[in-house]
Amino acid sequence: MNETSVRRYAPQDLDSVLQLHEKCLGEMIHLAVDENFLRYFMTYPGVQEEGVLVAERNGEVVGFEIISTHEQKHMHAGKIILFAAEDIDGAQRLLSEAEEYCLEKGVDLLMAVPPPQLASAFRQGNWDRYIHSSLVARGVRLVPLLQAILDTGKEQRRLRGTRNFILALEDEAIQVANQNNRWIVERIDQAPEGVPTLTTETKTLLNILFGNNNPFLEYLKRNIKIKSFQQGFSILRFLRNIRLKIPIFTSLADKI
Amino acid sequence: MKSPVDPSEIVLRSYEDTDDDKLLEFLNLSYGHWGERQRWDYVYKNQPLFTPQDVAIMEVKGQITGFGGMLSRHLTFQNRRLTVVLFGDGAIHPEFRGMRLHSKLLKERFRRASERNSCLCIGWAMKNSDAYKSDKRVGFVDVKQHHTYLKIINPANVLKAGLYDLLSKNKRLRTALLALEYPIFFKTDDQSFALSELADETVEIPKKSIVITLKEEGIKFMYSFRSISQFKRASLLAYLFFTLKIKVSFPSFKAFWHMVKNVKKIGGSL
Repeated sequence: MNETSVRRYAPQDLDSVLQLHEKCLGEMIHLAVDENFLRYFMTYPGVQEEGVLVAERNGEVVGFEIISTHEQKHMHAGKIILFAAEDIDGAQRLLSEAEEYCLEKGVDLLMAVPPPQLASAFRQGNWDRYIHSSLVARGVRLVPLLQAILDTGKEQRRLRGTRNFILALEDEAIQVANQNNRWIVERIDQAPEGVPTLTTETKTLLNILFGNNNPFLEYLKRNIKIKSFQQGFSILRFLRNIRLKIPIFTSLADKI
Repeated sequence: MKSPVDPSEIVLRSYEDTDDDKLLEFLNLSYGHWGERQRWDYVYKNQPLFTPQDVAIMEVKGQITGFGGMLSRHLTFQNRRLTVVLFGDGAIHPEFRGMRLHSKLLKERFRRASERNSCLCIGWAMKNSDAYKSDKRVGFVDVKQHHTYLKIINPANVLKAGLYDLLSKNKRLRTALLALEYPIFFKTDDQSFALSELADETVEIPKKSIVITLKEEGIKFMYSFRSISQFKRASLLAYLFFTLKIKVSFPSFKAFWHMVKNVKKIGGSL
């Protein structure tokens, strides 16, 4: 196997870098990066041409990073705002180049959010985990999110046996119905008669979807109301099953 | 609470091309130091999905009194792209704070997010900060995210920056520490500096001063200090003391006793 080398990014690397980025983040929930965003991130304050690097092996791009450096009170900070690599070897080569680059620039501290499968390269390079700002979300229109969750094949299998129901939130009513073995989520104006209705706040539902709260406990705390517990049990089980257990990936470039 | 502004005097509008300088001035006034034109252009105007509606401007009698920035992105989820809105800066003019203008501006931002069919508003806030607490009150929930990693190259400068950040945002702690009869000095492997100065050059430590010596490992932990809860801060400090990653030396028993008497005041403002 040829050795991995690191060089400056060139415009013709764009497609390979985008492919690598998508491949690296794979199934993770993340903020999409297309060519416009990639070019945009290269203009992040403190990014210079020599701070945009690609790792190459056998003529193929196997890694990519954008490094920003900036002066703040008492400290010169460095950030790897975007980082992707095919494997640990590529990640390690990019990291040592980033450190060298930052040392030249007189950086006092370096930060990065690596894709989790590359985190071991950081740990081996004596990087430490750091508690950064918390990611928070507020629900606006939950239909597309619920539909995306329910469209995963895995969830479809686990949700058999649950009846149709209505989610009554403060601002909207959502019908969750099984049609030909596919769950369809729709915003409705008026709830049809005889369909079990679960009434809750958007915040409570979101806390359940993001895995912070257990729907059964929320029911006991009366944050969720269902007319009959018999009907409600399968809906609560349904909500428990669709909880997102994986974290959302956001790079330092995404933070504004 | 100050007397509220007459609702008929409040105008909410979107960004216009001629607003750049006024908005930059407003943000720098509201945040202390927000940044230069380059940052403004990068964060808002040059963002690939930017539209004038992304910046909500609140005016009272023609004066800018509020700013709410938001930017569209797509969340990739199971091969789908969901529209989300990233919540950026949200600021109210210092003279108009406490008049419930913030909640009015927030409602406008949520309305705009809903108009563009966004499923979520996403933001970042330092845990336990006022912004975080306020976000929680208006319906934001925590979302698990992947870890951030850091590597410290120059521990002394990182410590100074961390202390500066902590003390500039916690005036009570700053006052409590600076009011001590004995000056506090910090010492790392290669530098020493006074808490009151945080000077870039290393200084000679006077004899009658309290000296806090930090090992590099201790500084790594301390860098997360502002992002953790009060309980965790206290536990972290205790851990660092017991593992000798932080050492405190006093010039005399009187200085030690003086510190003990003030521990409650300092601890309470941590």
